[in-house]
Amino acid sequence: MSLLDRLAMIREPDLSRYRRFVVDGHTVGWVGADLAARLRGHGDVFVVDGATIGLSPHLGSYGARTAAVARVLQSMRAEGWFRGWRNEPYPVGPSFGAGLFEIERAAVPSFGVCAYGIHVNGFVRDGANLRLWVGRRSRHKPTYPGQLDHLVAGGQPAGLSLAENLLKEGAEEASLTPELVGRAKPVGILSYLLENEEGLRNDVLFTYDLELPADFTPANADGEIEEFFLWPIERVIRELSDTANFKFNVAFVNIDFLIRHGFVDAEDPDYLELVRRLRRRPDLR
Amino acid sequence: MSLLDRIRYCQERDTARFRRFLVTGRPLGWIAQELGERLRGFPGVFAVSSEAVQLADGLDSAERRTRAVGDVMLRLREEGWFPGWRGEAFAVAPSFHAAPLLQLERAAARAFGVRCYCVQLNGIVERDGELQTWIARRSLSKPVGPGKLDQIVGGGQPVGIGLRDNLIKECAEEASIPAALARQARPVGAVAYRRQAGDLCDDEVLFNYDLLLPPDFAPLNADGEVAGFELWPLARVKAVLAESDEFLFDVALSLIDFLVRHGVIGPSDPDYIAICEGLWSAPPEGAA
Repeated sequence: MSLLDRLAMIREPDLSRYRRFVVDGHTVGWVGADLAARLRGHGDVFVVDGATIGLSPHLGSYGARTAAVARVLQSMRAEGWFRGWRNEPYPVGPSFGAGLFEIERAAVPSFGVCAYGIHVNGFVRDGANLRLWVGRRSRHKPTYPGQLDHLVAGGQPAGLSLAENLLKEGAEEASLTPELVGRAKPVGILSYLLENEEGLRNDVLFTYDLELPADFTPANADGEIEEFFLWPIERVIRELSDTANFKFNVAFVNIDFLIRHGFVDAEDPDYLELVRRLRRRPDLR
Repeated sequence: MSLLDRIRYCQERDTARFRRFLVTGRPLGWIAQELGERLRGFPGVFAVSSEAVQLADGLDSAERRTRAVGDVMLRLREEGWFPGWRGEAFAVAPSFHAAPLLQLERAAARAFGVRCYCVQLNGIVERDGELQTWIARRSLSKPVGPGKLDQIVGGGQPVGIGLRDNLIKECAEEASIPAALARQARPVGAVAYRRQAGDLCDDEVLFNYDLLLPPDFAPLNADGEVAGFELWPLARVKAVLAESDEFLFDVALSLIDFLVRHGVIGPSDPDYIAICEGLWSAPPEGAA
C-alpha cells in the first residue's frame, strides 16, 4: 500500500462515451448515454443529438436556463435520479466565475460539470512536527458518510465568493471565528477529472493552509462532522498509505499537503507521479 | 505582460521542426531537423528517418551507446554544435528512477530534447513576520541565460549523485551555504514543462526545495556562476515575474510555484487556476 494507491482513481475517462454539453458555444460538461436518453423526453429544454447536448435556443438568459433546467431535474428526481438532493445551486459555465446558469449540486457529476470547492488544512505546529485536524463525516451525510475529512471543506455554491464561503463553512463545520478564518493562506489548487459512482467528477479545489493555536478545539455546528481528531502527521501518512478511510478528494489534498511540507522524500520512486497527478486536468475545451 | 505569459512561454510547441529521438524503441527526446540531417553522416551510430532518429541496432548496451554517441558529439562539437559544452554527463532514461539507456554530455542532451532534472532552492528569510527570498543574478559567462535573474541555488542533476547530495553540493558552490544548513532544505514539490521552439526542445522536471535561512546569513558565490545576490520581498518577485522576462524562464516556473505555495499568488488573480495547472505541462514520466 502506498500514497500513490489513493491517486490510482485519477485516470482520464474515455470521453467518447459521453456527449459534450454545450451552452452558448462553450463546453460546460459531459453527459453519459443513460442521462442523454432520458433528457430526450424534454425537448423543450434539452436538445440532444448524436454528439452533443445543448439547451433549447429560446432559453436565452441565466434565469430562464436555470428555471427550465430545474423543472426537468425536479421531475427526474421524483423518478430516483440525482441521489442526495441538497437544494444547493451550483454555477455552470466555461470557467470559474463565468456562470451561464445554475443547477442543483446533486446533479453536477451526472452532467460532468466542473465543480469548485474549498479545502482547509487545519494544523498545529509542534516544534519541527505537525499535527493535522481530521474530521469524521457524519454517518447521515448523503455522500461519503463516516469517511475522514478536513477541518473545513465544502463545495463552492453560486452567489458566494471564496472568502465568504470560507467564513460560512468555517463557522458551520468547525466553529472557526472570522479572525481565525482570516489566517487561512491560499496554497494552490488541485484539479482532476475522474469517474466514480457519482458520475464524472470534474473538480477544481482551492486549497488553504490554516495554522491554528495549540489551544484551539473545533466544534461542529451543522451536524455534518461527527468528531474531530488532532493527528500527528505520521498517523495521517499511515492512514493515507494503508487505508481508504479518507474521502477520496480529501486524500488528494492531504497528499498535496504532505508534499508541500516536505513529508514526502523527493527520492521516493512515486514522487513525480504523485505531484503530476495532483497538478492538472486534461484539457477539455 | 502577466504571470500567465511566463507559463505559456514554457508551453510553446513547434513540433513540425522536430523529429523523435528513440532508444531501444522508446521515445526519449526530440531532435531539430538540422541536427537530424547532420546525424545522417554517422550511419554506424544513428539511423535517421524523416520521422525519427534511432540508435544503430548494434549498440546494445548503455556503455556502447554512451561511447559511440559521445564520439559523435565530440566531432560535432568541433564543428560548432552544442554551445555551452560542460563536460557533465546526463543520464538519459525513460523516467527518473529507471536505469539509464545512455549518458550524454549536458549541452548535447538539450539538443536531443531529452528530459533533464534539476534541483531548485528558494532561500527564504523571515523578517518581522514577512518572507523575503534571495535572488541571484546569473554571471554573464553562463552559457544559458547569462545575466538573467535566478534563485539562490539551482542546478542540473548529474549522473551518480542523489538529489539531496546534489543540492548540498550546489549550495556550497553557488552560495557558500554550509552543508549543515543545506540539509535543512525541505522538498516541496516539482514543476515540469516541455518547450519546443527554434532548434531546442527543453523538457525539464524541476525538484523544488525551500530553505529557511538565518537573517544574518549572506550568500557568497564560490564558482563564478553568480554575479551577485539580493534579498527581495516576495511582492517584488511577483511584480518582476509578471512584468518582465528578467528571470530565466524555467526559474520563473519554479518561483511561481513558490509564490503560489506561500499565498503571494492567490485566487483573486483571474488566471489563478490556469497558472496552477500550468506548473506541470510535460508528459508523464516514461511517456515522452
